[in-house]
Amino acid sequence: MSTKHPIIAVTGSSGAGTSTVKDAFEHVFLRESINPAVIEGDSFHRYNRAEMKDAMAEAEGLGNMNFSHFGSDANLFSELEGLFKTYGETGGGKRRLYLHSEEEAEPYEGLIPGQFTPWQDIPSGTDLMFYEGLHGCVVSEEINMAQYVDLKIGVVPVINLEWIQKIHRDTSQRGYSEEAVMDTILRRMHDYVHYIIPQFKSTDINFQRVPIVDTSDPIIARDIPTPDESLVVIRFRDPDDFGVDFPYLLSMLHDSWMSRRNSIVVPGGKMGLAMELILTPIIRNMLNNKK
Amino acid sequence: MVRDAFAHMFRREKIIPALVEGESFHRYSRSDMKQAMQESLDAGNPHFSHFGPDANLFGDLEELFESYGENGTGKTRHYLHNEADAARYNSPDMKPGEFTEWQDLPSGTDMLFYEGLHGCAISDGVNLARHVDLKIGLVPVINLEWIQKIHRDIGERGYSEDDVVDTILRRMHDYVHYLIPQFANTDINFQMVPVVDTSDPTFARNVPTLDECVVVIRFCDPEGMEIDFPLLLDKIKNSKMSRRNSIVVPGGKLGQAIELIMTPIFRRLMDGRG
Repeated sequence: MSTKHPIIAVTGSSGAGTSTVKDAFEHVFLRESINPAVIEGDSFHRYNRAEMKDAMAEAEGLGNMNFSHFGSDANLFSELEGLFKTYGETGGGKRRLYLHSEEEAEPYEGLIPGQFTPWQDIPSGTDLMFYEGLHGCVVSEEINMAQYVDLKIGVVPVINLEWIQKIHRDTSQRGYSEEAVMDTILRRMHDYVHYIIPQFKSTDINFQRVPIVDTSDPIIARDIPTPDESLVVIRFRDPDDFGVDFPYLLSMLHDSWMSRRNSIVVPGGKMGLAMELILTPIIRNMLNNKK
Repeated sequence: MVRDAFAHMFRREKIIPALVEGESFHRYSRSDMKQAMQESLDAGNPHFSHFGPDANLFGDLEELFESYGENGTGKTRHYLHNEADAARYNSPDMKPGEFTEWQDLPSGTDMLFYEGLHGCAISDGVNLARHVDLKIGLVPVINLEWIQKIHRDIGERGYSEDDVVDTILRRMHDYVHYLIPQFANTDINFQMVPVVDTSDPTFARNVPTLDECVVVIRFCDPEGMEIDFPLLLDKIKNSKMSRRNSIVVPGGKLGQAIELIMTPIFRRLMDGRG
């Protein structure tokens, strides 16, 4: 935790609404003239794309059928923890980029998609750190990321929706068979349960997307539920901590309602608006405390 | 509540059902199951579970469905959950975890009502779904399913959280391959969906109450089933359509929704017998 160099971590799987979150934060940063140090979770993968394939084959050879990007073996947890610690203390630290596509790799001579850029110092003079990835709040026997993060946000769909999204993306955009995707989902399940899920109990705010169309067989669901076909459950660990003004939110977010003393439900299409309404005062407060 | 809703309908419509419980078609008694699980672990199969075909008598269940469809007869048995069951089925010399002998279904029943995990299973030469005239899926979202299991096994059965999570992971393979595909085949699905945070199912302190859920009801063929959506929307307060074949109702209205939807369908099934 650092008043001077605060860290915001958005934890959740890609496609879980993280792009809505990213947009909402970008809007807030722009409006409030905040200069963030952005960290992408996949830059802390341990292996590049080619190495990951080898590492997975090797793990399988050794009888480990659960090797995945969700777990500790495939990620640089202690480096990420170190970055959080250093940034909180000094506002500095080292980061790199994972190059997803040709387009991203273009400016880097000699690098191809699936590789990392060299480690570089974070530019000086940033106002806060913004992490977005799978592991912003990992707490295990060796690692404690959560202790360095000032605002912990979970973005996570119900499991049925997470599977639907993955099956759609991997079959339609990446050409995998349904069976291959399902095998991947099962292979990752052990790490999902042991590394991803436990983070959502220490987060300050969770945004959980919940479809209100039938998802009982995620494998045959023909369409990804649209925002209009879902609700978002927003839970605050401690609403008093953040001075959350529920009556205000209820009046600003049409058709929203409280489902528990610390939880509000909003229509899926209102997720971005809800985030901006909730996050703006919290981030403003963070920056005021810096001064 | 679901069981009550069906019992109410059977009574009101004067339908005499032949009730069949899914557990009667487990392959192993409680102690045999333990042994079978250990043996399969030793043989390198970590996925043995009550969800899959190895631990169930799918063939016998199919035989029952087929013979009931043809002539209203067939054989079933009871699984004894506890001492009370043993007394109820006049099996005082049998222990909880064992089965009664196979028995003929009572004669003169109006329909067979199966409730269990595998009513629409299709696998390895078995096709239960084709014998079933009305296929109903009843399934919570996975997060809620885990929360319910974790609470039950820790709270009522004294297991540790780690044990329960291991069991959930062990069964996941069969869950995906044998349970889930059934819901693509059902005529009507009722899916319970919490509207409270379930993102860490192992941590949720309370099982979401009915008031903290909505139920998504999806019809495979609403026209063919003559579903009267305006009537349902009118009678079930705070319900709404979420797709052309799907209606969402507050969790507390599940029983009412089942009775409203199923009564005319049951009547048509009975009328069809002539």
